Amino acid sequence: MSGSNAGDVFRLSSTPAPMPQGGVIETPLPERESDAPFGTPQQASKPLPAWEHRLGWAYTVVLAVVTIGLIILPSRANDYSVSLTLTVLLTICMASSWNLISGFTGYVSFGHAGFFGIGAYTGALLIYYDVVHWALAMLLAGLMTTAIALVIGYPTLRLRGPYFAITMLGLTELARIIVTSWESLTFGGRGVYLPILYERSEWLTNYYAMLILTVTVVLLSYAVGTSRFGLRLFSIRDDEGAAQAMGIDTTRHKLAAFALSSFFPGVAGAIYARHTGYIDPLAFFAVIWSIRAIATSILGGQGTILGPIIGAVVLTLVSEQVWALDPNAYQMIFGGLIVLVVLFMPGGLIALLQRLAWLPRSRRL
Amino acid sequence: MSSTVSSAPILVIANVSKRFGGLQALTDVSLTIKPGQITGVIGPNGSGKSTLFNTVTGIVQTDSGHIRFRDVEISHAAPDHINRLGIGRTFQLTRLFGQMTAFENLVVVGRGSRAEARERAEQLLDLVSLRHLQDEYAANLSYGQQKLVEFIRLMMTDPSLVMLDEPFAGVNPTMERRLLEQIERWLENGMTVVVTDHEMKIMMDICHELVVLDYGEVIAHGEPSAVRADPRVMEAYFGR
Repeated sequence: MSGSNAGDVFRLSSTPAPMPQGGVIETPLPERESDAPFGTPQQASKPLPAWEHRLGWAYTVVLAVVTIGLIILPSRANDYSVSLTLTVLLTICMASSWNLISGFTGYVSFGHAGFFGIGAYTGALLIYYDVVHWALAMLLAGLMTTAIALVIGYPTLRLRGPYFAITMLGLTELARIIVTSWESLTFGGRGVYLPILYERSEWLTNYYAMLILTVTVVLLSYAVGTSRFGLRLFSIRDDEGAAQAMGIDTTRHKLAAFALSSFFPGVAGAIYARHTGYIDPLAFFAVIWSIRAIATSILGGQGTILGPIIGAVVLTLVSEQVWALDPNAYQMIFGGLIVLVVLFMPGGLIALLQRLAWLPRSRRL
Repeated sequence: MSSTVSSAPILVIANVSKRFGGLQALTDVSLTIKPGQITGVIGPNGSGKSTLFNTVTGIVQTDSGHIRFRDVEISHAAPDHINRLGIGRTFQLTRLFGQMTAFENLVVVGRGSRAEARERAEQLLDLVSLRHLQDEYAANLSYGQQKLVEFIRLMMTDPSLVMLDEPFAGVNPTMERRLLEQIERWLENGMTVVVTDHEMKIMMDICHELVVLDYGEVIAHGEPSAVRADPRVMEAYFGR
């Protein structure tokens, strides 16, 4: 190419030219250009309603009323209703805690079944061998799963991609095999029988323990979801590389979220073990525990605060009805429902209500 | 353009090489960046500009060589650590957090308390006249608006050196001027800018120094007028 062409390209002055002076240029920006790089269609922007900022208070009032209602429920309802409510609370615990790591950061965990089983066995064995009071056994079960999460999470969460999901899938199976093989401690495949709780007041302690755990995980979800820590988890979900380049220590944030997330299935497993009075490896390390947590969050809306709660209530009640109609078709209908939700409601019920403009876009939801 | 030039370089890149499989992306690259200036990095596509940016910001680890920022070795540091030391960057294609609002995109990376971050975010949005879009999802903003938000997101991390990867690509003239205004503000505040772009007119106009890369090697480094006259640069751009 000729030198004259080069001169056209490299038009320059001997010293850098002055930059445009003056304040911000008043020329209005184009409203929307077609070349925006993000492919996902978004809903149009609408100003947040005035009551959005009062959602924190609304939560406090609703949570207080619902909690009081759930406290007095056993005195007004039969054992079946209480047991069903305990199952709903268990599902909320599992889904909301799964949501803390997977919904907020996008790192899908298949390890909740593993934590549930490990917590169940930790709590059950501490009770069986009469090591500590049952309430302390529940707490220790949660601390055990948190410790395991930190050990597993530190190497796997440093990496991006599918490593974490694969490792967590392996955790459940590994834990099941260890528990099955370690017969001298766990009684292997025969399972562990816990003292039967004959008195209703004794039996209800499990219900109240699950209620306390549920209220705690809901409050924690709200605290995380509306905090800057929560925003940083969302930034990992959106673009981890950019988050890291902007100074966010993504490994530390993921690890913290994972540790918080793993505590609740551990305690829930221990409570549920005491509730059922018998545990065995196949039932308590079944992958369905992870799938239910995932399906519940997806149905309600992963990455939201309310989504897993709504999903848990809907899914548990629907499951109960389907089971009552046809126990054989239960799993097929359950699976079909999940497929339909993923295909037609990818954001879950919360996103559907937002699309219908019944709910505002808000981190508080 | 005013600048506060001191003799000590803010960034020293010494003998840096990087290979991706069979591709030698950078070969023994050495250069220094002076503080308070705009240094442009130019070169044909595939010359190693983005790789150089990625090695400095820790996204890609070097195979050999040293990178020192204010006398701190950063060649094997993590990107978040490098950012906290004071190097900020933008990306060739904007990488905002699409599912977060413009305001959240700023607050999430802010230093100090949450209240301080919120106040700073509001000020910066006012500065670029985007306050009315603060509750808009970043994915819904126009490409130019996203560029502006990415620019001010940099400011939330208080960098002393900013690295801009093709900031003027695909933006309209109005937005181009607004980005240039922002760069001018950074210089006035004593910041150092390293920029790569294919907009030669802008690069020639705004840069105090130019570095020319070709096939992963530095083939020229100096004032724009000298670089322009360098026959190796002409050959790199037009002679092959």
